Amino acid sequence: MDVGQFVELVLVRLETAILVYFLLVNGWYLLLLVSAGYEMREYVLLARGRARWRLMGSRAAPSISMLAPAYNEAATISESVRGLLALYYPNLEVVVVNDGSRDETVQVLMDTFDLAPIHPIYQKRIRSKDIVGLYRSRLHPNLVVVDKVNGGKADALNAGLNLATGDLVCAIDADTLIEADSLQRMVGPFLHRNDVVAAGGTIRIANGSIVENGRVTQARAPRALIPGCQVVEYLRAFLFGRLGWNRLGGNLIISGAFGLFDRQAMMTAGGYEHDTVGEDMEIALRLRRAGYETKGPHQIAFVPDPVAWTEAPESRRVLGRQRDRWHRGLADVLWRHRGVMFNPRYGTMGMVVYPYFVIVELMAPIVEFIGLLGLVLGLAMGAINLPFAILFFLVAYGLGAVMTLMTLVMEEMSFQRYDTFTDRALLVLWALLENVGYRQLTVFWRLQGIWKYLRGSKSWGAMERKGFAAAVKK
Amino acid sequence: MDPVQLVRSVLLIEIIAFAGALAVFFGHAVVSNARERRWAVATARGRRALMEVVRTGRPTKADEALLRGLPTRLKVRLFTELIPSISGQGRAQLGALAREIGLVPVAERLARSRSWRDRLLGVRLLATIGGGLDIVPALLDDGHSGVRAEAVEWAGEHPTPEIVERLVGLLPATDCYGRFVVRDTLLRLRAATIGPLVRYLETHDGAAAEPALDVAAGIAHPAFSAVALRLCHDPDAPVRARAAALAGAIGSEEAMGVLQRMVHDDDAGVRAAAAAALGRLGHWPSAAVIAPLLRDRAWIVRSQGALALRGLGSPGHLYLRRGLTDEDPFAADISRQVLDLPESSAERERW
Repeated sequence: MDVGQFVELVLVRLETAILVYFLLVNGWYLLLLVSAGYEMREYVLLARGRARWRLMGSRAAPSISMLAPAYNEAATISESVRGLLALYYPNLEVVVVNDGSRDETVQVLMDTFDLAPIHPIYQKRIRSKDIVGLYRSRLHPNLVVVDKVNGGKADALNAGLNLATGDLVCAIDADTLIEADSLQRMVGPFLHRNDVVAAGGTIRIANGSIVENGRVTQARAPRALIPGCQVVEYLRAFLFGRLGWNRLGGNLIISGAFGLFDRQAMMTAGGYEHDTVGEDMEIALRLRRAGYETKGPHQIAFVPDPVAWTEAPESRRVLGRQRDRWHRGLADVLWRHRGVMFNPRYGTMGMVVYPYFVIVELMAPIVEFIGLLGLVLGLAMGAINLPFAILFFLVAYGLGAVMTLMTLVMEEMSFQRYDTFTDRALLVLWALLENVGYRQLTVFWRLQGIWKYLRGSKSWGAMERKGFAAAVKK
Repeated sequence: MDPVQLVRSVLLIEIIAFAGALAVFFGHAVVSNARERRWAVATARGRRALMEVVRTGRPTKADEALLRGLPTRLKVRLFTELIPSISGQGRAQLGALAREIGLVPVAERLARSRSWRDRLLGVRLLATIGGGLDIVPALLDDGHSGVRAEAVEWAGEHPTPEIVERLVGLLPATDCYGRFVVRDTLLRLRAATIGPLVRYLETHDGAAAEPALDVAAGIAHPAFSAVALRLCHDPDAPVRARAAALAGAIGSEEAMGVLQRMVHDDDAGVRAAAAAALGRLGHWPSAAVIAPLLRDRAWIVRSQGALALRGLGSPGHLYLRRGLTDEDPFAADISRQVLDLPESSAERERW
């Protein structure tokens, strides 16, 4: 066998391996889709028409502490905090943690909410940077402000955790727009099940939507390509990616933008990990692990209701940084908890969910890249049949489009948040275009993330946001 | 099969699936928008008719005919959006109207269905509009958790002594009913709950008593005094802690002695609960008993002890000031923290 024949053989074998991978992954995706459809149908039946007013007037409702870290948010902090204080929940405490802002964040809070110093009795069970001031609002006694030395988001959340008094804690990003009744929906799994340690909800993209007084009043599909592709990507990730896992072994991820946790479990687990860029996934995985190890609650429930809205990056540069960081975070967290892989001690999490995240979520960009490279080489060397390659390419990306469209059908039949024909048509358009260019770019950024992780990078990279002003209806 | 042919077939299936999904996506939007447009006038008229019933007690013949003629789904929507925000006579009148126009039999038929989805809708509707006395109690043991939870909500609207007794018996079954719905319903019923809850607590202890003690502490009626004191001696620490909280919420001379003994309990949670209870009752002679807790090894006991001393007024403050110079640094620290809390009545009002 000469070198040419050998390379040809390798390419053919490689393509076969990638084909098998493709079939396995897409088979699993289809299973997730079916599971998500079933789960969504049941959720809509159970949630729609449920008397949520009972929760509002109930003394049995668990108390919730909202933890809102803020860093240099002077321009928007008042609006954000007002939005949190106006959430419909009977027993709510808002803990704003100023993480050593260099601007006037604390002063703005003091002026707006008439803060007074307090000396609460609390136990510093989780390590965090020094606290320099604690305040409570005279106007809203359920608002506590923690002023601390800068230490990053995880550190700020840990400081807030020490001071929070709620049965449950809700961690949010400062720039998240939260639906007014989101807590009533998110608390559901804690009320109806005994095995839940945390709950997450659907985060949606607010770009292009109408925002009034810190709330998304009308969802609109973005007119620009990059945020448009992200809208359908988020819908797919949440409505079938995460919802489907509810029946197949539970989730491993709770979005850092909005997650509800059992406070006692968080304290016992030691709070957020500082030394990772994937702190939201890390805490979720650690809580589940601890639950299995102590035979306590270990499930992460996913609520498909749209509970929060976030601003998506509109430039390729910023989006690239975000995806690079997310993938580094994923790699880091999976490596830290590698003992879970195929470990029967962790039940379905160890035998199914964790391996899926390694084999599919982590490895997919590598396999996709190798597949594309092999395809090009194979075609160049004549080792691969051209009509077959083209058809396979169409099948692979067509399947992605079909799954995204199925997700849009789920959204349409359950929530109908995009209610004009134009918005619906745009969503379909983004579902198609996402596969051409955008998807390949995300593969590149995720590969970049793996490369940087291997080189030990733990940088967050600057996130630039335009703010919601452009979409605000006056 | 030839691989190219196979991939071509898969692609064809994908195209058909895509076209089908597209048709469902836009078709659903068109159908639901058309239905909302078609129902808009009837919805407005139906709302007006129901409001008239609340105002005058009876619908006009025209209104009754209108309501009878509405699609069942719209009738359900109108009644379920209005009834939860109305109580008393207006609610009863709407319930009677629902029966007259045939909504209650529809709900009862749904509640008897073999499909859990129908049963869920049926019970949910019956909890709102009334009815279902012969059907729903059996659904407290339904195979589906959602139906069971709705049946508990229904039971809260129909609190016969037998049903309340049944609800109290369901308290420990959190695997089947969650932590919320039974407790919430019993707390809402309040007076009707007291008798059955006392009887339950007289005969149950250990883990089975925990949720019942939580509900009893929420009601805090003197009728619970004896069972609270009995359970203060339970072998389970969480039960003792809850019993101490209940005893502290009710208060009695006998309870003081028991609580004073409980501050020496082996379990930190029980010591903390006993100290908090004494502080809540403002039993100042207990200051000397609580003061040693400032040196406790558990933070929760030190903090609850210090806060309890603060709640006892001058005698407690005396011990806290002594605590400032205690040789135990933890006792001194917690005393300082508690003494630093806002002190004046004006400040207290503000908080």
